[in-house]
Amino acid sequence: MQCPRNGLKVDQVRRVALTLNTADYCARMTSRLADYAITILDDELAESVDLENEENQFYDQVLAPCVSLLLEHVFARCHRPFSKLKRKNWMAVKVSGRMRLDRVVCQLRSPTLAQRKSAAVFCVFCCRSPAEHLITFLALNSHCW
Amino acid sequence: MEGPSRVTLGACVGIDATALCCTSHSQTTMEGLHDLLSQPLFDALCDRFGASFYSKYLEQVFACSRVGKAGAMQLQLDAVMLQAVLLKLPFVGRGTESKKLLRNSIGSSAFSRLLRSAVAKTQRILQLVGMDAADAIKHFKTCWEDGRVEDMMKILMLKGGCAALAVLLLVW
Repeated sequence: MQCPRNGLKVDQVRRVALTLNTADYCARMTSRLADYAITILDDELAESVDLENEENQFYDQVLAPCVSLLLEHVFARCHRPFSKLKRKNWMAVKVSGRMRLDRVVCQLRSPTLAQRKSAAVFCVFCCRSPAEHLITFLALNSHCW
Repeated sequence: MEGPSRVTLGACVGIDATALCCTSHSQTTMEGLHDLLSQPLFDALCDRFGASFYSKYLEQVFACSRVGKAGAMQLQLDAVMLQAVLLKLPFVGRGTESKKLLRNSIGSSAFSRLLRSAVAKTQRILQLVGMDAADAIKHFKTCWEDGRVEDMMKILMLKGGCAALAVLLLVW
């Protein structure tokens, strides 16, 4: 099964998850089954009990491809933002976020700002400014993530 | 108060809108998968996702036409911001215990270690993208240990193909 460009549909994801969970259970149970068989069989027969191949088959033929498929699905869901990233004109970016933050820090540190305000007002400004930024950031957070 | 857009939030914290969108898409999808898979399987999926996310991210960067200094810096910043979101992925859907688990796991779990090394590598590569062509060639081996000539070419193409390639030929 191949992942379409826009990702899997809801029922397809559910089916893959179901297969994955079942295969995982079967793989874990295979080794337990082998252990159990060894305990109830005669020594001669017990020696020939080996289900490692079957267990590996669950991992290699079901679990690994299903995990890859789900991974492709997650990346497919990121396709739109990734293609936006690709299309964006990064030459036109003049000021990065870090520079923007540096400027704010620079402004806060500038002596002119401290000189313009009285010591008490400047103190209140310094305490309020980061707190306001934090409150705004937290308020925005709920909308955007 | 009207709900601000992703771009507004991006401007506040310095993260690009595209990166924000990417994290929200992947987070929503992973949340859905968490409900469907058993915890060990979901952890395995997170490990695989974390291991391949930054190589996909770089793939997209290399597919861009050109990237300037400020652009490269923004991409670096986005890579770091994305890490913060990706670190939370294994704990989505675990409710109140997720914070505690996240706090305990930071710096210790294989997933976070894997993610940190991937981010560090991505940052080093993006530093090369932000450098001048001559500097990028000079620092290529130190920033990208397993980088090949083709990778160097990809970086130079982001600086504007011909001129950068001419620098490469002159230096070599």
